[in-house]
Amino acid sequence: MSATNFQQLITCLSEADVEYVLIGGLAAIAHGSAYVTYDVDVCYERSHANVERLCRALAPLHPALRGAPHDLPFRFDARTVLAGLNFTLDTDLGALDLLGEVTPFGPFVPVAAHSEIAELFGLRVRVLSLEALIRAKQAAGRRKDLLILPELEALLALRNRPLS
Amino acid sequence: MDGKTQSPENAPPDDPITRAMEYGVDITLLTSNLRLTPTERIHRAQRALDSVVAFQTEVRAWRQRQKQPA
Repeated sequence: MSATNFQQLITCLSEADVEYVLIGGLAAIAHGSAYVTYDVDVCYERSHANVERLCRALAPLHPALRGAPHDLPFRFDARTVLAGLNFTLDTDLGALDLLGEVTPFGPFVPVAAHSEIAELFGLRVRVLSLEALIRAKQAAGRRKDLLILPELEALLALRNRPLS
Repeated sequence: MDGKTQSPENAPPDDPITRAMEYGVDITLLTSNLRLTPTERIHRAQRALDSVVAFQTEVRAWRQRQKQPA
C-alpha cells in the first residue's frame, strides 16, 4: 500500500482546469492542522463541461470505487458522475473523494464563496476557509468531525490574534 | 492563509486555545505549522503520511512472519 500523493493529485486537477474546492482533512492541514489524513477531499463543480474535464484528468489514474469488488463494472465518465453526487475513489495516486455538495453550504458555488485562494505547489487552489471548515465539521456532526473541532477552533484563535 | 500567531500561555480561560489544550491538542505543533506556508504544511503532512504507511506496512509484514512456522 502506498500513501496518497497530495501534490500530484492537486496538480492533476488544477492543471486540467478542473473547478474544485479543497475541503476536508487536507484543507485543515493547509490551514495548519497537525492531524494526518489519508486522502484528498474536493467539492467539484457539476457542470457538464467541468465534469468532462474532471473525468479526462483522472482517466490516466485509473479511478475505481474504493472498497468495491475488483470485478465490479465501473466506468468513470461524465454520465456516471452526473448520475451520482459523491464518489470515494482509489487512483494510481491514492485516495480521492469527490463531493458534489458540502453541508451546510450546498453545491460548489456557495462552497467556493466560502473558500480562499491558496498558493499550493505554485498553483492557485481554492481551499475551504478555516471558518467554513469549522461550520462544515459542526454540521456533519460525526464523531470524527467533532474530535477535530477543538484543534481547528484553536487554529482560528491563534491565527486571528495579533502578535504581542 | 499565513496569519499572525501569539503564544497561548497568556490565553484567558474559556478561550479556544485553552479548551484545545485541555482537550489534549498540542498547541506547539499548531504554532509550528502556522510559521509554514500552506505548501510546506502539506509537504510535512505528506512526510507524516508516508511514515505512517511505511510503518503500517512493516507491522503487517511482521504479523505475517509471526504466523509462519519456525
